[in-house]
Order: sequence, then C-alpha cells, then structure tokens
Amino acid sequence: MKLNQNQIQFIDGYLQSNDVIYVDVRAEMIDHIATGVEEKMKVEDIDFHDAFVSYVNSNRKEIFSMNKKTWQSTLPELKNYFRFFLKPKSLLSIALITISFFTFQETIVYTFLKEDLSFYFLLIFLSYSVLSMIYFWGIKKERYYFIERSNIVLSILYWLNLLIFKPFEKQKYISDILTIGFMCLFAVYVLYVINQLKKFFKTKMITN
Amino acid sequence: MKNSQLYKGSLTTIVMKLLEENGRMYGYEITQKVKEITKGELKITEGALYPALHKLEAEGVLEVEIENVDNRLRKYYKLTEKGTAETVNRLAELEEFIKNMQSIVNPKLA
Repeated sequence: MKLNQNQIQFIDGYLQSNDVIYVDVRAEMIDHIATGVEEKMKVEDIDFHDAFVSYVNSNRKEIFSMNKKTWQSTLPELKNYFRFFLKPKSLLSIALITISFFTFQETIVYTFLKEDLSFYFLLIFLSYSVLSMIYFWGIKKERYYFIERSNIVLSILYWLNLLIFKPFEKQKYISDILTIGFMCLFAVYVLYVINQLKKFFKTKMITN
Repeated sequence: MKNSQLYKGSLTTIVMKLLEENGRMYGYEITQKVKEITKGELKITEGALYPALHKLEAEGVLEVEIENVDNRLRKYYKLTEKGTAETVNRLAELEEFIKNMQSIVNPKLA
C-alpha cells in the first residue's frame, strides 16, 4: 500500500519537529521512512499510524543519524570546488584574469581592486549570504543544507585573503601574485556556485 | 551493521558492486538488497549508508537521478563512467584482501 500526500506530510512534519531543518536532507529521509512504513503496513497488515510508530521506535537512532552534519561534511564541498578548477571554463577565466592583470595593472580600476580586494570579497560574501537568506528563508520559507554549505568556501576564501594579504602589502611582486591568485580563486568560486545553483534548481534535492 | 569493524572498510565496494549489477538504486533498496543477499546476516545502517553514498557522489563515482515517486521525491544513485572503472579496481582489491585473509585464517584452504 502506497502512502498518500497527507501521510507523507505527516512524516515531514515529524522530522521538522525533531529539528531536521533542511528540506534537502529531509527529502531523502522521508523517502527512506515512507518506504519502510509501507513495507511494514504490507507485511504486518497494520494501518499507517501503527506502522509509523513501530518503524520509528525501532529505527529512531539510525534515522536521525542521517541528519548528522559535522565539519567533515564541508570537506567534500571544498574538494568539489578545487576539482572545478580543471573545468575548461575555470581554466579560461584564470587565463583571462592573469592576462588582463598584467595588461591593465597600472590602470585605475586595477589599483582600486588591488587595494581593496578584501572589501570586494566581503561585499560579495555578504550579498550572496543575504540574497540567499532573503530568497530561501524569507520568500520560500525553506532552508537547504546545500545552499547554506556553499557559503563555507567563500568564507574560507575571505578569511584566507585577510590573513595572507596583510604581511605582504608592501612587497609588490608577492602582493601581485596574491592578487591574481585570489581573483582566480574567487572567479572560479563564482562559476562553481552558478553551476551548483543550476544543479540545485534542476533537482531541488541535493544533499552532498 | 553486524560485526561492523570487519565490514566497515568494504561498505563502499559493496554499494558499488550492487549498483554495477542493478543499474540504479535508492538508499532503502540498497539496505534491503544487502539484507536479502546475506540472509539478514549483514545489516547496513542508514547512518553508515547515506554518508557513504554522499561521499561517493561528491567524488564523482556516483551520480543521482531524482524522481517523484508515490507522492515523494526519490533519489536514485548510479555509477558514473569513472565509478564503473573504479568498481573493477575495488572489487579486485577486495578479492585480494579475502584471499590474503584466507591464507592467514585457514592456510589449508588458501
């Protein structure tokens, strides 16, 4: 017997009330629990309520271990980001940044960019965070682990930029290399996020 | 998972082997298939399975297909091209491991 929409919503509500806050994490858990409950209803010939209570009671610990997110969950995100550097569009943007830097480095735009790179990082970081919060928390009233996690890479880049730039501010060659490096890291990050968002809106359920 | 320490290192290989044989599978189906094949001797827990699936997906070994099935979303996992090649390697490693264990545990049969 297949569960109806109300029964699925009941499972969703149960998970939400047990602090499984992310929609994308919940989606996979709902399917897992629903399939287990359906099987129980069929094998033991019991109704939804009894099957659900029985299933949750005997699998509670395992079910909620699916919701465990630790710092280790951010490692795949970082790995994916660095793997994205090998994509042709990333390599192309790195080449363009490097060429344009050496061509236009004396122009006023690049002088500003070099001096206030941290500020631009912060600006983009805050814009992305605030915009995604407004859209997902405010408009859709839903939280996605996938979206919130993608901020981690950018925050790491931002803090790295703050930490590394300061000691080399006065050394032209090192600060030039760092500027190019961080511009490339940032450009690839933008491409990476666009790619991930495209994937996200296509599937609406991405959990890693 | 029964006697989890012994099986722990082979979980991803088990998952990849099942996907190689069955094309694409969802999480619950994998747990039930393992239970069925091993006649209930080996039970893969959700807490071990899903992180392993997500890790393999992040590594590009697996890809996902999401479908709306019976009023809910279902995430199917399947091997990528890289994953198919990787499965062959991992199975060869596992077989080698089993052979070595056999030599140690029961040298007469090895």
